[in-house]
Amino acid sequence: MVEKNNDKKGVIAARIREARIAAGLTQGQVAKFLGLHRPSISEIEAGNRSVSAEELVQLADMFDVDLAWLGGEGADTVDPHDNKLQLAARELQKLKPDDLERLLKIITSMRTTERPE
Amino acid sequence: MTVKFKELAEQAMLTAIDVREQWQRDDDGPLDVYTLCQDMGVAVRFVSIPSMEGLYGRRDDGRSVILLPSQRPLPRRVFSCGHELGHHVFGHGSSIDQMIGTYTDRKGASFDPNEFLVDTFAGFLLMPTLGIRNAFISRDWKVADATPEQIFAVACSFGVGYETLITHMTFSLQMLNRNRAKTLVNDGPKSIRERILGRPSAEPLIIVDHHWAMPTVDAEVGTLLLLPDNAEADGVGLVVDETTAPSRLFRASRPGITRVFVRGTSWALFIRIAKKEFVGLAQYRHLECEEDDGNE
Repeated sequence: MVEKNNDKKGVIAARIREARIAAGLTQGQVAKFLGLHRPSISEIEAGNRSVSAEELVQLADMFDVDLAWLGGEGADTVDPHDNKLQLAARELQKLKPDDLERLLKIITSMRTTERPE
Repeated sequence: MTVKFKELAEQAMLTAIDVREQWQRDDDGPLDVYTLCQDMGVAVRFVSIPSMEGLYGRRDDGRSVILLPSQRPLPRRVFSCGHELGHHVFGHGSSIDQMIGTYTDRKGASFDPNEFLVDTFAGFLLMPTLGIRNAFISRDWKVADATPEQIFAVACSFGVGYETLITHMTFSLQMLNRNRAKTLVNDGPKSIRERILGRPSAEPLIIVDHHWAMPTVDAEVGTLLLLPDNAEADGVGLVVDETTAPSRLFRASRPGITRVFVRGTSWALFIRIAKKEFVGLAQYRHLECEEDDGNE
């Protein structure tokens, strides 16, 4: 059980870092938004500091990603057969395999829940 | 299949007018397409996927996102954003496996009505008919004999590329004939920059004049900005470029928002500078960052 919890903590930490970079924010900017010191963000991303539920909601909102995904739920990448997702893109066949994989990863983190008002 | 270009173009134009009206944008000015997307609930992300032109995605709960490649020039990203917003407005979209299959099947196909529709929509949304006419009139320029430099300045003021404006003025607004358009396109931004700067330059240039209609100018680090005579800048984001002749030539040097003004006049604007090839959400592109800010 302890090992399982640590695994999940690691997934959450990795997803927070991934989502922060994908949002174009530095650790310093995130810390400023949350009213924390920069080392706290660094510790969270290293998996050395737990994230409260409230902080997780704020981070999901700030990064514009799905809260459940940020909280470690679901797969790392989207299922191409997932009919819940509709896309429109030009010349998709020209995408390199690496680029397509990166694209699917970004789409996986997309919000599915309404922002809290 | 007979392609009804005229009907599609009319649908695109009327929809662009509707969107501007519904989201309370005036009917003749340039607009900030990223803020419009945000207001419409569509997230815009710049991503480092150079082989992608742009993508619109929507989940069944209504959440939408536009992905744009960060490596493309700023005006190209603006137009691609308008294009992808068109897919959102017209409700286009297919599942991923369908799309990969469809596009594989359609290799070599030359015309897609949906793509024409959203391209034309983006044109009218970003460059409304009245706005383009007014841009020339207010500067006391005539479309009939406008120089490449003048057309380039108008393109800058709408945030679009030189060729994009010429294409729109030729095929959608029918203000230019095809021969003239071809001559203008041949005299492209590279030559225009060289004439203005007095030296060849690969760096993007934005001409900002007294008739600039927006309160803001979007740039990224490395962009050159030619401002009105005697313009000054607050802060450190914009520095005078001393490598060339015009004394009002500035270079965007660091991310953030810098005010520019001409002393003794009411002319003032905000230059919003993004990191070069910024990756992230559009609303964060102009945030300042400290050198030791823990970016990685």
